[in-house]
Amino acid sequence: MTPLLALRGVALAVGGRTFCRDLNGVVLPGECWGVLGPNGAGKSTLLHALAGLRPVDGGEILLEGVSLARLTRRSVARRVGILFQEQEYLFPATVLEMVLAGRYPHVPFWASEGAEDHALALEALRSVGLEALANRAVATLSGGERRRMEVATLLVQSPRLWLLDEPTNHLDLEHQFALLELLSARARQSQGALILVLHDINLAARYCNRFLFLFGSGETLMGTGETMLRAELLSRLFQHPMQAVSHGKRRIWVPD
Amino acid sequence: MSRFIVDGSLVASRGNGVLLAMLVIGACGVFLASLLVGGVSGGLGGMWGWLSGTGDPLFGRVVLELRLPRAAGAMAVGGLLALSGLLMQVLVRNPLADPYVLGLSGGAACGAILALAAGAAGVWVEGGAWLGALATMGLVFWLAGGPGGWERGARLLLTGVIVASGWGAGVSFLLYLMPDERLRGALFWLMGDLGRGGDPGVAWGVLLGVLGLSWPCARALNLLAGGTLRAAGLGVAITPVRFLLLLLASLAAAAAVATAGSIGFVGLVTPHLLRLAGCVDHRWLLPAAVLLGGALLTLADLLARSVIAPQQMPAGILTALLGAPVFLWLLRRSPR
Repeated sequence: MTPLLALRGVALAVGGRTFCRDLNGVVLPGECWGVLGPNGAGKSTLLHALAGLRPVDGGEILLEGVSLARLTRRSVARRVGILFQEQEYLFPATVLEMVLAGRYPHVPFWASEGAEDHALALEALRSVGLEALANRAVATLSGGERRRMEVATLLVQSPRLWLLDEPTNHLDLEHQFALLELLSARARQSQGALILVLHDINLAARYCNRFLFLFGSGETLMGTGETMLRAELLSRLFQHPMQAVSHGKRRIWVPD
Repeated sequence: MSRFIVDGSLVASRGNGVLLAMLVIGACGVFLASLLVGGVSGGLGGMWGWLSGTGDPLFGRVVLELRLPRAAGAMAVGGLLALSGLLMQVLVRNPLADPYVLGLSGGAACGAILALAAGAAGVWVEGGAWLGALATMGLVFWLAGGPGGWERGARLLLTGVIVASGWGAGVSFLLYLMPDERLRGALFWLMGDLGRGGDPGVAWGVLLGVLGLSWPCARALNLLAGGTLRAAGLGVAITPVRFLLLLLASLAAAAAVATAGSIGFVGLVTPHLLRLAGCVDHRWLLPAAVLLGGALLTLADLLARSVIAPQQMPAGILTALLGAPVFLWLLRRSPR
């Protein structure tokens, strides 16, 4: 199986802070990665680098075997989609227009979005429960509704690799689960993979089968749930004592 | 349900079509009026008589030699300013940006006044304006384009504002030193006036060129309006697109200033008026801005030369006088 994404000796640093020095690994179709770490450990920076939005400070990132630096933005955007942590909207636009933007990498440069693209956008809005707000101005949406609109844009973009930076921000409990179920289903369907930045360990434990810890000092660790979700490791990661509590068959992580 | 929403978006594009048609009619009307209104007035009858070769020859000469180039100039300059403002607002990601935010008009005025002070005239002064505007553009890009500079609109904006204030001081210094008899000619570049009687051909050429080259990037502009990083994530090649569009916006501003001096407000207000009217798709917004900007400036110039006739005032004063209250009223009224 060709890896969707391969990291070879990747180094990342911002303003003199090193987030990782020699990160190696592969992301295979069907995997769901959870990226965990304290504030300022470089989680978002890593996602941006994986989407090709910033250069790496060493090593290289391969998308389906080709270095990201050698691919055009358009061809990357057809295969890699990213949900940003925060978005600000300065200019007026309707929800449907924003979601339709997800078709940009698929529609030729000289052409316009057609009826098929509209249908896809509406279907995506339906799957996040926003179909009734299609013609509303973005500025009138609540934080959670905006988040769902951004997810709908990503669904319309329909990448193979889904990079999600705190996807559950602003969402209530019901929508948090619905969103992660939806995205995992879509990733499976497209033989793709998910990389999630999450702060909720229990949510991550429930959906992810691979983990990457960024300690913020340049130290990184990756592995499966059994090797990574251990009390001493999580305590060190978050600089706060953590322990697992059994609830039926599930283990729930709580801070001491 | 889905049919209703699809229809809704069709209604939106039909709405844009109606808006554009109205703008075409409005621009033509204003253009015609500015040919007919003035000291030598013949009305539509006079126009018809002149066209059919039986009317007053003086009226014909006034229209052809004075009013036509002036109206054509106003139309082109207004379009250039609006286009430049629209592009700058999206690229700098600041709704307050306009053609002059990058210091372009300051640079142009400084260049022109420097040429005047050196005793140059005619085409050399316009050349000075072009040179000043383009040199400013190069300077701002160079200063703001350092490591990571392209990702930060704020840095570009701030660099432009600082450069503009530098030029402002330069202009004041030159005006202070300038002999009185040349002062009036220099003031033209600061106030903005369409009565200088230059050839509008260059302005029209630049306008059509900039519109033609920026329109294919309209979908990229739609994405850029929603955020630079988001646009990049969706497949817009930010650096080349941004460079091309900033270059076009700068050329448009330079052409406008070289033709008519510094005219404020048209570049800032026109894109917002259209956005408030519900036009947000740049495929429609680009041509609509050209039409509305052109019509607004032609109308302002028409008023500027007729309200206190036979006296005339620079159109730049009127655009600011009328633009400010209209814009504030719309802003207060708007639900967004």
